[in-house]
Amino acid sequence: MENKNFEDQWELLKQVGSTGTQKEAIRKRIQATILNQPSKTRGFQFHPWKSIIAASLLIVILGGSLFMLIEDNPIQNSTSSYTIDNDSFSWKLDDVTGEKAGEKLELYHKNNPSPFGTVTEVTEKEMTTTIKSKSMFVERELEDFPYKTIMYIEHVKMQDVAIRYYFFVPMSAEKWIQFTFDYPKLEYAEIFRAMSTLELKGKKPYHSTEQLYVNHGYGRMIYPVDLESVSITANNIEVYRWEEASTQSYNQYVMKILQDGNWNQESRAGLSSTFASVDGNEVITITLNGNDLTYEYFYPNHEE
Amino acid sequence: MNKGKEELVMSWYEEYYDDIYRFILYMIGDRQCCEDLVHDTFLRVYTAVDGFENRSAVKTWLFSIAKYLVIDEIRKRNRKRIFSTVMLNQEIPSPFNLELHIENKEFVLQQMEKIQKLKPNYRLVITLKKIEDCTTKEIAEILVWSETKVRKTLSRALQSLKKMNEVGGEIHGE
Repeated sequence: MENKNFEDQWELLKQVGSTGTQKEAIRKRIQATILNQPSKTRGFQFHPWKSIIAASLLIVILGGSLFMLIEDNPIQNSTSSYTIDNDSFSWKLDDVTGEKAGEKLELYHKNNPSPFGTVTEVTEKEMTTTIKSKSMFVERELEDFPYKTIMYIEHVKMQDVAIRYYFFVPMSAEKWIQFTFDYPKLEYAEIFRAMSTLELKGKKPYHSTEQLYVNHGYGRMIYPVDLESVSITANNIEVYRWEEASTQSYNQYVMKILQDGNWNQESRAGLSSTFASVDGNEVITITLNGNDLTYEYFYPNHEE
Repeated sequence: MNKGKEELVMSWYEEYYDDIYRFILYMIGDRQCCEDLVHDTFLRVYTAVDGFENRSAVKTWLFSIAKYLVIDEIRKRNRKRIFSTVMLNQEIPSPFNLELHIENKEFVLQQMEKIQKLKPNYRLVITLKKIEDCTTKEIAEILVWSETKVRKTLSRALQSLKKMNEVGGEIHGE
């Protein structure tokens, strides 16, 4: 090894490693993957009666389809001719414009020339192909959203895109609307704000009376779905505006975090609570000040 | 049941992450792929932990799983011929202060690049012995070789690396 002692140099080579942040990111990915593979670990159980039900359902579905075909059902026709444009949907996300790019609509934020997402109409087969061909690390059905919404997170790791969200909303038995959002081009809060306030033209949305919560990325902490990013800094402090904030909603939020099972409450002073993850690797202080909700993250077991 | 399994695997992750990460990085050479393989290694561990009978040490078992994944990746790369030394230079992380030890950084990068040019078996045995400090017995267990084969291969691998450093050239082929 050049001018240095051959044996001594191995000590230098042993110092190569990764940072605490990388370690934490991979740990979260592993846990997210484990969390999302229950069906694989549970194994397949065959129940003979299920095949009878499945056969009956198949007959009903095929019979129904045949009937609709014969009757030239107007609903079926209207959904098959659905095309995506700016009038096809709306949401409470400001400064967003959509531009047609072939079959899809590209989404732009403010004056940013780079699109942060897309909206496309896809068939079930196309949806399945997309899901199978990407490195999807999270799969989840979002409960009580305006429409049945299935979410996937693709681990992209490009220069300007860390992860890509896919949301699939069914329009009919065969047609789905696919929304994609690139993080960090669009912050998590805005991504979920868009999907939780979505309204599709000609399809009545469901409005939940309960407060909804979501995870941001691979993180374990839950966040209210209706936040607006104010500032997210590199030193682990996140500030959001929570329009519906109140002492009652904050208390409900704290209860929800504790019910989640991933967190223990370490302390509370007024509208400021500190939670530690059950493995002790993460400590988060969540403070409500007026409508500002602040998260301060600490990683006690990691050297930066 | 699954929760306990996850806790066990994540406790191994905390304990052996650095060893597995470094091993894969030296074998593969780029950080992005290394992160993916570390993820895949611990996922395989999670899937296979029920069958782990403590006949080998945990660390040895983890290295065996990582070894299968890196060998598989190297085979895929050989087929696709996508190895890039440009990527290697950009991606290698270093925990020590690079500005103060720039000479060392260059040296480390050079050596990593040279190790990358060794054939996979040489790379395996050199990384396990010299970087990971495994004993010959442990390496034999991880690679499913005889201890004699480990010693002979290590000796040849070190000779190859020495030769590369002397002439500044490359060692090609099997």
